[in-house]
Amino acid sequence: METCRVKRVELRLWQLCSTLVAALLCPEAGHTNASDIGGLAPISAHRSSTSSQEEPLLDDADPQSTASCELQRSADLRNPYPQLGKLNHFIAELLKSLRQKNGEHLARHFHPRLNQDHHDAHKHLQIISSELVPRLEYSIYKLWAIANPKQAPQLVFCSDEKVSIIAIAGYKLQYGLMIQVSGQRELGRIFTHIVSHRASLKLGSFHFRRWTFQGLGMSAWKEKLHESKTIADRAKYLDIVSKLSSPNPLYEYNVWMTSAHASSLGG
Amino acid sequence: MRENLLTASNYSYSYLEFGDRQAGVGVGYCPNEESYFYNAYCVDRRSLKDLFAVEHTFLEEALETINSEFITWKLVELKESSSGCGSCAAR
Repeated sequence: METCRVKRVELRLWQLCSTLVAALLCPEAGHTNASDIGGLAPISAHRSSTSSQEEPLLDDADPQSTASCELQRSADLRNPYPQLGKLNHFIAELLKSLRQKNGEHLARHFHPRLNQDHHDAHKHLQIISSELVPRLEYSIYKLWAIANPKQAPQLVFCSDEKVSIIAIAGYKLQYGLMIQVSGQRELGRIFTHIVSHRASLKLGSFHFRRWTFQGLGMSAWKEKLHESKTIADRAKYLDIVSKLSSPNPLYEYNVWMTSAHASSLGG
Repeated sequence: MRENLLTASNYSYSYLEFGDRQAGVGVGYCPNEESYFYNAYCVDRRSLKDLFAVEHTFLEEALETINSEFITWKLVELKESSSGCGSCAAR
């Protein structure tokens, strides 16, 4: 059995390998053997033939500069990022397909390398529905522009929310979009990378995670854990906290446990 | 408040019973995700067949499923087997 459970919606454009491995597999030379990484060639290799069209969003990043992340300010709920033109339209279409639970429409947004057809897209929508219980409201939570001049996968720190986003390989500019999904009682968030592909935009990743359990977020469950008296309660709360804070391959919050809390848990 | 409820404190040694049918919560571990999951189940003990099984990420959800689905069943504690290798000594 490949995975024990199917509830996790988690895709990656290609392996977010360590910097060392990335340096070996994603060189500027572009002669990487696709079979080395499980059949998914790095985008940089693919792009060598279509370089003029692959990066319509930003191509003026200095290759010597370091990776950076910038939060994009939203102007309006209906028309959040008019300054970003094509991206604004892409996000609106993405939200539309999510709201309409339209798997076929959603599948068209995925980068071809993710190999997601409408059945897969429909499955993702089903998982979100089963975790959060409709009626679901989708809204933009945050949008970050990530400049990654070296195009290697790396953790990029975004200071506004103490979040670090993993930049996927092969793009000087990519966007990290966090969509908030609110169900009847629970809250979840979808994180996606938006990248360019042949003069259009596509989803380079798609990751859903539940943000609350029984209407409470991770910090509230952490408090319950610290206040728990019995072993049964402690085990229960620890399990909930670990699930709400489980690591994911696309982004991470830099501070989730203070040193005082860590020491009280024996960490 | 009902007393015959499966709770986080008693689910590991209790189940709900009706005739030959047993409903409870089992714990599984997924090494790929490195996390536990909870299986709300109902089995027929005579035929040893699964009648109902739902997998949950959170324990509370599994308990809620069992308690709401088998609301009238009796809460029973697991008994130690009276025979078998768990309780016999080699002679």
